[in-house]
Amino acid sequence: MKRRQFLRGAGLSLALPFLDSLQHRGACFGSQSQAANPPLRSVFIHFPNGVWEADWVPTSTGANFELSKTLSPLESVRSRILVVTGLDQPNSRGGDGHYAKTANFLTGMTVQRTEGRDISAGGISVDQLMASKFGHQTPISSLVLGAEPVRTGLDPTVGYTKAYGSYISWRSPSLPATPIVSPKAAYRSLFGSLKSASPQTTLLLDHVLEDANRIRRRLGRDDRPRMDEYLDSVRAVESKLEFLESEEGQLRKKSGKIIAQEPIDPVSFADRANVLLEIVALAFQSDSTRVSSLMLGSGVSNVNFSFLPGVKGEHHELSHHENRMEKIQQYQKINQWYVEQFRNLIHRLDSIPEGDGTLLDSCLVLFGSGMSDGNRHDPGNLPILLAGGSRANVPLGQHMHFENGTTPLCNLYVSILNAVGIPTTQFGCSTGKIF
Amino acid sequence: MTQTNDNFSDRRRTGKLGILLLLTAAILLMGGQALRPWPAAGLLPETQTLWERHRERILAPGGLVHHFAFLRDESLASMGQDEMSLWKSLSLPADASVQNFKFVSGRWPGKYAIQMDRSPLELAPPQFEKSFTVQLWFRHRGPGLNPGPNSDTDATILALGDGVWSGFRFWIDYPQNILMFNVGQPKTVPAVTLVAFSRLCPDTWHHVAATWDGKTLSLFVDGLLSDRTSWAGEFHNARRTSKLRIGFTGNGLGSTIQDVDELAVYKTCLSEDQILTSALSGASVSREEISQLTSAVRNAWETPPQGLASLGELSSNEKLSSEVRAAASLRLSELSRLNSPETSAEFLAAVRDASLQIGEKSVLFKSLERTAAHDSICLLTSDNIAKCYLPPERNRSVPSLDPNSITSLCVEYDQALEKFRSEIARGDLAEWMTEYDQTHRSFLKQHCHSCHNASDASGGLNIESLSAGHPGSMALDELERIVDVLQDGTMPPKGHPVPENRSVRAFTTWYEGRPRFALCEELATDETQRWHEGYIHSRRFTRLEYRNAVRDLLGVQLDLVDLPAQDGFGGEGFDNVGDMLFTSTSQIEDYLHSTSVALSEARRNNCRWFPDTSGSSPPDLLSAESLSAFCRAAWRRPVPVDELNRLQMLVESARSRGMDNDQCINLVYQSILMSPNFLFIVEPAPETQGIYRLSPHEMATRLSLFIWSSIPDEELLRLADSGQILNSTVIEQQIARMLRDPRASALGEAFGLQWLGLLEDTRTPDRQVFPDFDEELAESMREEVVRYLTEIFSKDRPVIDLLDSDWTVINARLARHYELPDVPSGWHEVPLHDHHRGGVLTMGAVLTRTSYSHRTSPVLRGQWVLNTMLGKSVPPPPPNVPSLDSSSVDGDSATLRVRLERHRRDPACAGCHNQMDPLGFALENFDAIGRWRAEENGRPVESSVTLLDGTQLRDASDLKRMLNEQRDDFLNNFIRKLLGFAVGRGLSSFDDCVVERCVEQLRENSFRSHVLIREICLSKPFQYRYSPREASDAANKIPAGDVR
Repeated sequence: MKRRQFLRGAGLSLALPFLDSLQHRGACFGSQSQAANPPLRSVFIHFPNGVWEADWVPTSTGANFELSKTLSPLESVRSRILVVTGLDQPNSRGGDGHYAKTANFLTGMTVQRTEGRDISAGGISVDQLMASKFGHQTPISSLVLGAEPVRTGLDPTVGYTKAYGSYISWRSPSLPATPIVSPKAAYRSLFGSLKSASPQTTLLLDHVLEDANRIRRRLGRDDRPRMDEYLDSVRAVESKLEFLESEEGQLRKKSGKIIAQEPIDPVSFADRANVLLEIVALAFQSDSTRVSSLMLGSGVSNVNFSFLPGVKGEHHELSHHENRMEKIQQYQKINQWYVEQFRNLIHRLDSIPEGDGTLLDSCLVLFGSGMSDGNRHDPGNLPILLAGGSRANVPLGQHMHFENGTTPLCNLYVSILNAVGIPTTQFGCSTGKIF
Repeated sequence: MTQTNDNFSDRRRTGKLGILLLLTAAILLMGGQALRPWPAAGLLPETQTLWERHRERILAPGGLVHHFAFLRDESLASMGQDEMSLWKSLSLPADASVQNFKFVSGRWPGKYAIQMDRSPLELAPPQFEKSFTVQLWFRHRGPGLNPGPNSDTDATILALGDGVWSGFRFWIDYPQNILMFNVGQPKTVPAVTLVAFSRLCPDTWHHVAATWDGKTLSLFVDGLLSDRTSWAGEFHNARRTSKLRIGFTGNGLGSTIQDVDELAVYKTCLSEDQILTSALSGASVSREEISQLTSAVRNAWETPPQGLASLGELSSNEKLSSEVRAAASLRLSELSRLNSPETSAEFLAAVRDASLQIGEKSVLFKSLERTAAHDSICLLTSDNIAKCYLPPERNRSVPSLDPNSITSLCVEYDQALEKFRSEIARGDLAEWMTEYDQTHRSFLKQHCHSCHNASDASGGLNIESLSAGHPGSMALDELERIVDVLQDGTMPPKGHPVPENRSVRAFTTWYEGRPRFALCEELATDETQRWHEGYIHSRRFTRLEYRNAVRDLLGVQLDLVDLPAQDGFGGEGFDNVGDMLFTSTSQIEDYLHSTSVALSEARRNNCRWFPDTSGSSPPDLLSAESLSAFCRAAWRRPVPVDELNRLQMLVESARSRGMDNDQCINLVYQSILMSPNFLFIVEPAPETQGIYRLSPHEMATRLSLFIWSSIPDEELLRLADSGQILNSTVIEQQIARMLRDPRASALGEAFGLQWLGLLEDTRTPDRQVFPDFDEELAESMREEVVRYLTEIFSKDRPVIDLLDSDWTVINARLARHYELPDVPSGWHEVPLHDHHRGGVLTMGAVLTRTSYSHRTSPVLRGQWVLNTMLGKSVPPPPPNVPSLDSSSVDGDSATLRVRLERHRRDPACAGCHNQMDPLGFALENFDAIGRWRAEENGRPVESSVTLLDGTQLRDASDLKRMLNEQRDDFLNNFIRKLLGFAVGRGLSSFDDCVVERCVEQLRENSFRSHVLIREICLSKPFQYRYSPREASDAANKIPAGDVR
């Protein structure tokens, strides 16, 4: 679509694409310890309110599977995707319809039912686990984005704070990573420091760190974790600046090959989604970060999808289709639109040359929802798509189906973690691997 | 008949144990039949003699009309047929005894008493002519669960009829523990009243008796004469339809928690000797002794000095029985205190001692009368030594006592007494919790488990994880909810087996019998600590607070796009809850950006901190003075020298790196604004664990955050510096000033919009269906809400105007939208003449928010009214909501109403939809963007509904009227929300008393809003905090010189 039109304004030279700088220094990470390999990146994209299963699940499995109706936009990228059906989230049962199934999409554990106290998603999320392992190798350890502002309010009907519908990345079981919802702010975070970074900022941050330490010593036990968050966040910003001042950072600055332009914040949801996906691509391309998550719509999302032909209404309301055909049809169109966004990202990543292939070869894109049927709020038979990462030996171009209730989604995360070079046998509630 | 150990658990099986044992006059008066022995069953061999003796004393005087004692029911099993039929012939409510009372241990081993509170024991009323005696053995524990209508501290012990216009009654005047006895007189004549001379210790067995022989009415406490008056009037019997009640009756009095061991009622008037004898129960005392004692007491009553002497002799006469000696010395000390003044120092020492003794569970009570006329304090210690201070006005020559020291001692004493009562209550709590585990857990499991269990917790309730907890704990909220839905029949849903009425009642009674804790005064204790654990107070500013702080400090209004993103909500539904205010790198980067933007603009505008520097002697913005002033305003507290030094060192570092003056200024001012001292509300913990009062500066910040969602201004800071901000009068004055200030619009913007759920705007009306709806309209609607709420708070208008009113605040756009008379540009308050508009329910913003993008939703609106206005919620729809049968009626052409009616016919759905839908239907005259409509799709709008209880509502104005009439739910909810916003956390049972006080104050002040704000700001939860700080953490000691 017209993604580029939102990237207006003054251009800015950006960091080097990964490959060249690494060839200078010969560094790499993970099990692929050869000099010239680009690093592997992952992005986890969540879309809300589930899918109409009958039009999602392909009827056949294996390499020759037939794309279902909702997945038909993926025809052009068939060979680059892996369709996985039948996975479930055992720890999403028993809670409410949405919050207990959204916040734990990337943790696989149980969402604590609370209206604010003791908020918890049960575990660290897979993207933040990655960030903790190799986030230090990039200016930004992870990029957490959201297409809608954090949900405000409580839902007294079910006893959860609605904020759960906005967080899928969790740095610890009780600490969510706040998503950036403004493309402008995301851009600033990625590239702004290059413009305005100065020795002043580091001096300033050092000073306030000491302020925070002094305060922390005097706080009561329950208040200290909040000050710790402030300390950690300030240190993270400092690290980013130091990184950019370091040798590698200077190298990145010198040969700018990408011109990216500061976005204005689009008003419509569709445009915002587009820009955010673009930012993910840019973030990876410039190697500003290697792990990202994107909430393409918060839990119980009420976005008005009337901009789609044939759709008249809001996402959540339509997802409660009551088994009525006229609602199901609209629901399916919305599902398909989301799949198109996934496809757009794949195209974009595939259009960026890197090494002897494209950026897509080194990117694992996970796209899915915490429930299948939105009317039933079913956390089984989850709609999950994986793309890219061919260099990591992800088995692409096929449909893998699992028997309902046998395989947790976390098993896929174990596979993904291994694929990006974090050897692990367990994550969340996993019982094994997928590939 | 064998008695196993007297353990509590046996006695808790109220359904099986105990029954009243009655001996009636019938037995005795039936022409000289032999006295029937007491049933042998149920008596311990070792107390046999006691019983025998006691029985003789009861029966000896003759004229016994009623006698009640309590035995275990095994005794009944062994009774003969004729005995059983005798008891059955008395009129006793069939289920009076077992369901509502608890059996506790009585005056001696094997004897039982029943514990009662709000449920009386009701018996047929005896009739008297010219004489009567009533004696009762009981033990009281303080005011009970039922406050009386006139006085919420005075409580009934026993009453024949109403005790005011007929019959008689015993009652206690709390908190002085004064026993009173009334004989009822017909209207216009005051009841005859006796007042006990000595106070009635709580938690101790007492014998009280009243006798009348047609001429003299006497009152006895523990067998000794306690008051007497001559009265030869006519005794007005209670009506036959009335009752003899042990326990709560009403008629201006409440209930008391009491254990009743025995009651004996006679037609005759017992003598003083007989009273004393029966009071001494099973003691072995001779007639002579009794006689001596009663004479001495009578003498002392009539002529104190001689009486004192003879009492003195009796109390030290070794030949007398110990009981008689004890009684004598008791009366001696009671009399003595009135005649021998204490020195002030001795008295103060006695009060202090008394406070200490409470800790060791000595029985103490205090009598504190603070009336306009006099102050008196009396203490009676466990060894019956009385100390008393009486003010000089009582014509006793007592050295005057400094009233302040009395006050502070009384405070200490009060605290000790409260703690003592808490300990009793804690013991009760353990019993109460045990009862749950043994009886009610299985009841709930049987009826609720199938839907409410760990793997499928419908409505969020999991019976398995429920357990009785401290009254301040969260488990109680769930239990209360269960009681509610059981009582109103919402649960179990139709189609599930209904539990037996008795079990439901037993469960409800058990729940209502939960031990009372003086939660208001506690705030938190070790047991209930978990309520306050994890309440984060030193939190980051919210987005709005940050914006306002920057505005007030620098005079810069930041654009939305330059502000950090909105945070999630918690607590009572607001974003100022510490639990939800996380800090990530994105926030830090946002702050870096916005402080930079704000400072640049402030400098350009030459705000007060950055005056024009182009003049002849420009101020040095980097001087200690300038920095200190700015820092103080930004950090809301005085800045100690060491922090100032650090800032200046920062300047030095910057200079040494070659930065020019301008850059240094930017750097140091920005670092003040990036510091957590600015961005966070810092409330350091004191050294010791426990409840503490906020410091003056912390208090100033809390006030300004509550009312202005911003930092305190210069005046508040000055009052904080001097400490005056802690004074209630000053607080009231400041509140009035702050509410008049334009910054009070934050109450509309932060509190109002959040409370009404209007902050999110992701759901917007479809532009094709509603081309009328544009940015300007959306903005106007939002502004209307903000201004309306601000108006109510700042101009002290009634909060019930939120439900319905005859005025609103609109601009021209809204005037058009609402079809009201045009207004000039700007915002204006206008009167409303019909009842359609008025109040928040019919404001455009609310009506739009509670609709879908292209149509209205009565369900959403009904749910909104329930949740937001009334604070109720219905559980979510069950999974697999059955689809509406679309085969019979074509979906869209049937009106919305018809389709939703089908939902309500389905029993699985009806329970909740019957509550929600009618409320929403009454609002159907307003379309999805809040315009009034008489028709929808060519059909007339049907907004009339019938509620579950039969009430008919024609339209929105009826709905609002109904809500206004039942405004308690609204008031409670609104107050809770405002309080939750003020304290920035979810509320607990500890906050209930604040809510109650607010409701009271509102009622007494025509519901005007200022009184509500004032009550909240003066309340303990607002002004105090609990610190769980570990005492052993030496590294956390506050360094000397630091400011809290």
